[in-house]
Amino acid sequence: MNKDMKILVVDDFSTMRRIIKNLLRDLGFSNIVEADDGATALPVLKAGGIDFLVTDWNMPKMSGIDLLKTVRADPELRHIPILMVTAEAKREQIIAAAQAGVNGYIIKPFTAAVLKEKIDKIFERLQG
Amino acid sequence: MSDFDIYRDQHRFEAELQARAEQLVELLSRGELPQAMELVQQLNEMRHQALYHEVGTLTRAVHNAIVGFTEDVSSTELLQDSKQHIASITDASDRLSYVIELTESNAHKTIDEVDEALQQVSLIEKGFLRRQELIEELAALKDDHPALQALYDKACRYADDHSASLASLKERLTGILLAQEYQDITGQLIKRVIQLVADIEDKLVGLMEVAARVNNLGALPVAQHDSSETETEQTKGASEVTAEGPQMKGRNQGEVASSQDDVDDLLSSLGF
Repeated sequence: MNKDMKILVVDDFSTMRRIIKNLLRDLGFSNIVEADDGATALPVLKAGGIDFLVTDWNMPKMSGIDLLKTVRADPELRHIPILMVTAEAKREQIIAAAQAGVNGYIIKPFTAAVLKEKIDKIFERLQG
Repeated sequence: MSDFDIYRDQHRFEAELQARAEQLVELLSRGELPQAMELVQQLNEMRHQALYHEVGTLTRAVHNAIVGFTEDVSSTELLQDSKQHIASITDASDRLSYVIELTESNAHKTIDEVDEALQQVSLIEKGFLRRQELIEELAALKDDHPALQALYDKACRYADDHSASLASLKERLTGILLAQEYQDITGQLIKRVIQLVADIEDKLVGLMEVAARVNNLGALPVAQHDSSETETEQTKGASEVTAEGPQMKGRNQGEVASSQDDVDDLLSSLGF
C-alpha cells in the first residue's frame, strides 16, 4: 500500500472529516483532501489524482450512495477504491452499497482499529 | 389556555349536555318530534364544537410548547455566556440548529487540544530518543575513559523508559479524538428532529384549516337560531372564528404558513 496515495474524505460534518483525517494521518497517510458532500466531491475526483475515496452516506445535495454509483459509472473514475463510513446500518443499505460496488463499509461509531483493518483489507484484495 | 380553563370548558359542555338530554326526554314524552329532532341536531353541533375547540387548543398548546422551548432554554444559567446569541434565536428549529453548531464548535475545540497534546507527546518522544543517543555515546566513551563509569551509571539510573506510558498516552488521546464523532451522530439525529417539529406543526395547522372550513359549513345555522340563554361564551367565540374563515382562507391561499409569525397569526385568527 502506497502511503503517499491521495485520499479524498467526503462528509458533511467537519468534525467527522477531521477525525477521519487525523486517524488516516496516524496510519501514515498525509496526502488528504476533503469535500462536504457528493456534489463538491465530484469535481475534485474529475480533476484527477485521487487514489482512494472515503465517504459518508447521508449528506445534502448528493448522497454517498449516489456518489458511489456516479463514480462506478464513470470510465475515468470507476477504478477508485471506495470506503463508506456511515451511521446508516440497515441490512438493505449495506446490500445496496455492496451492489453499487463499494470496497468497504464501516458503521459509525467506529474505532481506529476498524478503520485500519478495513483499509488494509481493501488494498490487500486489490493487490492480490 | 390553562388547565383550569380546559376543565371549566369540559364541565360546561357536560352540564349543557345533561340539560338538553332532559329537554329531549321531555319533548319525546310529549310527542313533539320536530322539536326533538332539532335538539338532536343541536347536540350534534355541540359535540362538533367541543371537538373543534379541543383540536384548536391542542394545536395552540403544541405551538406554544415549540415557541416556549426556545425561551426555556434561553433562561438556563448553563448558557449564560451565549445569551446574546440565544436572544437572536426566535424558534425551536433554530435553537436545535444552534445545538448542532455548539457541539460542532466544541468538538473542534477538543480536537484542537488533542492535536496540541499529540504534538507535545511527539516532542517528549524525540527528547527521550536524544537522551538515549547521549547515553550510547557515553557508553562508547567510558570504555576508553574509566573515570566516566560513575557518570554513565548515574545516567542509566535516571534514564527511565517511558515509551510504554507515551504509547498509552497517545492511544488515550486518539480515544478522545474518536469520541468526538458523537457530534456527527447527534447532529444527524437533531436534524431529523428539526424536520419532525416542522412537519408536526405544519400538519396541525393544516388540520386547523380543515376544522375551520368544516365549522364554517356546519356551525352558523345553529348559532343563528340558538337564542337560549345556555349558549356559552365558547360557542360564541367559535362562531366568530367561522365568520373570519373566508378572509383567512383568502390570505393563506396557495401558501403554507411557514414563519413563526404566520403560525401565530393563523392560530390567533382561529381563536386559539
